[in-house]
Amino acid sequence: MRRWLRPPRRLSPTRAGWCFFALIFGVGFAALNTGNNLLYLVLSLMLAFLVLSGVLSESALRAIEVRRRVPRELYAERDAWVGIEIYNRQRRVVAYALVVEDRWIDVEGSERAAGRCFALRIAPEGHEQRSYKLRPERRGELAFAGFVVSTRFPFGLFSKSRAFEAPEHALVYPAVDAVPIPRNFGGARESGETVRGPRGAGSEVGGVREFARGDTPRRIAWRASLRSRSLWVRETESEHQGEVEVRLRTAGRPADSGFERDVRGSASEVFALLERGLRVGLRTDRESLAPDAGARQRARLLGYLARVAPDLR
Amino acid sequence: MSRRGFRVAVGEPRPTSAWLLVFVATATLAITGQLEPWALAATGAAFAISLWRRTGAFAWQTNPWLLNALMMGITTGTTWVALQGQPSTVALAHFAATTQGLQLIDARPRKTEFLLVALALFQVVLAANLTDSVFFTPLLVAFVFAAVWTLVVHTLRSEALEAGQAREIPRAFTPGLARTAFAASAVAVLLAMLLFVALPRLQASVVRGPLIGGALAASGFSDRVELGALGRIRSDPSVVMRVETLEGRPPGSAAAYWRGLAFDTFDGRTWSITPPERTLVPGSAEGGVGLGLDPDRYDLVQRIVREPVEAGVLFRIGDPRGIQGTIRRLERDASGGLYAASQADERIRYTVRSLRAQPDDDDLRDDRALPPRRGGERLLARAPLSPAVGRARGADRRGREERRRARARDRALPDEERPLHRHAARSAEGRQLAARGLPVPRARRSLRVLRVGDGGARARGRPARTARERLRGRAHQRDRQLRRGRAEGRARVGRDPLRARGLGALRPDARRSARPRRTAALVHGADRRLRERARAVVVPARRRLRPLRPDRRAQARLARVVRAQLRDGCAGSRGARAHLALRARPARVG
Repeated sequence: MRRWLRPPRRLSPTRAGWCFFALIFGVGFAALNTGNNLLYLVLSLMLAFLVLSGVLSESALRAIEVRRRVPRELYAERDAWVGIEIYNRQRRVVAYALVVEDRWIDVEGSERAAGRCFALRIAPEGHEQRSYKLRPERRGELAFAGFVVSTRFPFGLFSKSRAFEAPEHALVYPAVDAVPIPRNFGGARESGETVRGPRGAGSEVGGVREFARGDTPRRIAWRASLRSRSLWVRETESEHQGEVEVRLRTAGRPADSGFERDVRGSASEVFALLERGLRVGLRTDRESLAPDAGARQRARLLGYLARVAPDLR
Repeated sequence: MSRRGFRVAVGEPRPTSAWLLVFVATATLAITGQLEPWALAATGAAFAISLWRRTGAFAWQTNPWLLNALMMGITTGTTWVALQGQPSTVALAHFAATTQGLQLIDARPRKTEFLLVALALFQVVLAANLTDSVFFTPLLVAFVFAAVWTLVVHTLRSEALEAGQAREIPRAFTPGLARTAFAASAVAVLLAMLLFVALPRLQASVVRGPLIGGALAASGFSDRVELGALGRIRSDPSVVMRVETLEGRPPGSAAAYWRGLAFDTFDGRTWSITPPERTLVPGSAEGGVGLGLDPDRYDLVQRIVREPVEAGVLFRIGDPRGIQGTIRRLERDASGGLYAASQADERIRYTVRSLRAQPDDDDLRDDRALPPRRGGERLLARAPLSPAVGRARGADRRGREERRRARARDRALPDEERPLHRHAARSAEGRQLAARGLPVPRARRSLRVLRVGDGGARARGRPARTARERLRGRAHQRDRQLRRGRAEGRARVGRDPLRARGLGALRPDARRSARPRRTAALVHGADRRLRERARAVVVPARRRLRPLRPDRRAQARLARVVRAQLRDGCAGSRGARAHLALRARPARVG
């Protein structure tokens, strides 16, 4: 219903536009007061300017398409670059001075601008790639609502905008801090407790596997990839290939800042341990995720931590 | 982040089109001929300096103190022009032109170019009010092209700077953008023409005054002159023509009248030429064409170079007998005016042979010649008056009648307090009038007049008893006159004794009460009904000279009417009651 009620274009005058309106009224009044034909001519030209402004701005917005490229991993309180692709589907008309505003829905359910990017000129049947910096404030689901594309072309008198619906969801991992991993830590660790586990760092090559989302390009095995015409990465394993289990207490805890701090700590440890090449698992009072290594495990564990909530039983 | 205003100050040089824009706008003002030389010089200097130092401005061009001092100088100059007695629009023209120059000089980073465009637009608007020049429209079209390009360039530039993409700016300014701007300007001009035709022409003349002014009209030559549209007339100093006398004696300064336009019809607002159509003069004016019945009789040959004038008129002295010049199509109107059709905006050089010997006033007075067969009735006809004049005359006539009635009532009342021998003298005069067969206004009094006059006297604050007694005396005198003869009495009573005096007093006093017109109409209707009823009752009674039985239905109807009048308060209550009593007892008259 809201979508149907939304006007196809929104027009808001700039300061110069308001001045122009005032001039039109002034000249119109003078023409009416004096009956001077030349004043009527000037008034006609000013009205023609208005019409022309509307037509040209519409030509800039008419056949525009926008796509969003969300990064694979979004961390709370960390900058990420969201890519925007702007397509001009018109065959002859150039689109000028487009401002694309990406909008997301916040916790209260209202739309807010996530970021904005600008394209000065998009050739006919061409496209431009832009990006904006996004810094999520908290972990969890991030819902993108759509885009608002606006332009002040041609005269800067009005800002005409057009809304595009482009719903998309992204998962924001908890904020991750640098965690110093001691060389001798235990095999299991509860947040805030002593770490016990295998020693050593993951420097031994344990084989190759197919590239997975989140793998660092540094580990791509180029020779194997060229042979198989697909990306393969080297798997490394610790000299001791130990397993670490990070525990997060969830039972009987309120959803307060303390819980958020523990989630953040767990995520930081998971991140750091996996970076070390360890097999890392996660255990909460409700679930237990088996230990594993690599980018896929990182996405699994951090994804779980992004959504985890206190167990109130 | 709001985008509702220009936030980024642009420090780069203005686009060259900005200078074109300013040039065109200043040119529109310059062709009016109203700018003082100092204003033109100041604007020209600012234009030249700013264009010269477009990319590397002087340091003083960014000094706000100096720029503000210059602005104060401009304000002082504008005030001085206004104090010289120039119209406010002319003073504003000076302000706009010089401020525009200052705006160009100002090399500080600016948030918008719209101020430049708005000032230019203001100049154009002022010029539209100050000129009738044929060059205005082409300049306006040039202004549109320059304004479109300037605004487009500035908008793209400021948008890119605001987004932090200054490096992309050159990429946007392609020949395609220029083509787009050019096409957009052309479309704007076409659209403006359509709107210009479609816009309803109203003239409210809401705001007028010596400073604000209505339209500031210029003296000049156009096809019609609308008097109602003029506020103040300024003189147009542009040269209209240059004259060189080739043959004959040049006219003296007192007799140097070149005739062009001669308006012959005024419709209450506009002077125009009727019939408006012109006839083509046969022959080629470029080779020379004779005019009039005797083209070879002339006493003056002049070569005239006429500048562009709106009506395309050709000026000459006296009666034209021949013309030769760069005239493609020579036309003549009903008043004998000569025109070079479709060459209003061209300079025309022509040689005209004229006969200066014009009939003087005595000759014209003695001239009994008949008007020409074709179109002669137009010369004899009186100019038709506008409906407004007719309405005004009607209102004036009605006003006079009202005044006459009021004056008669005035005369009537003071008479009541004068000695009776005056009335006797009047009666003698009345008798004289009657003897001459003229109406006798003063003799038409009766008891009805007495009764109603009583109310009238009371309404005027006079002692009612005195008035009643004296009126009664006159009424008795009148009754005696009535009894002298049936025919005479019938004629007088049947004429309008009640209309002249009796019921007239029932009407609201125009000088004392501002009754609504509707009430007056109601009272007038009641008055008429009363009068008809009185005739129906009284005249037969007098004819028979015997008592009549009262007409009960008439009494009741009259009583209703008078009660209604009493409710409306249109007459004194006692007077009205007396009137009612009178109507109820018609038998007493006889």
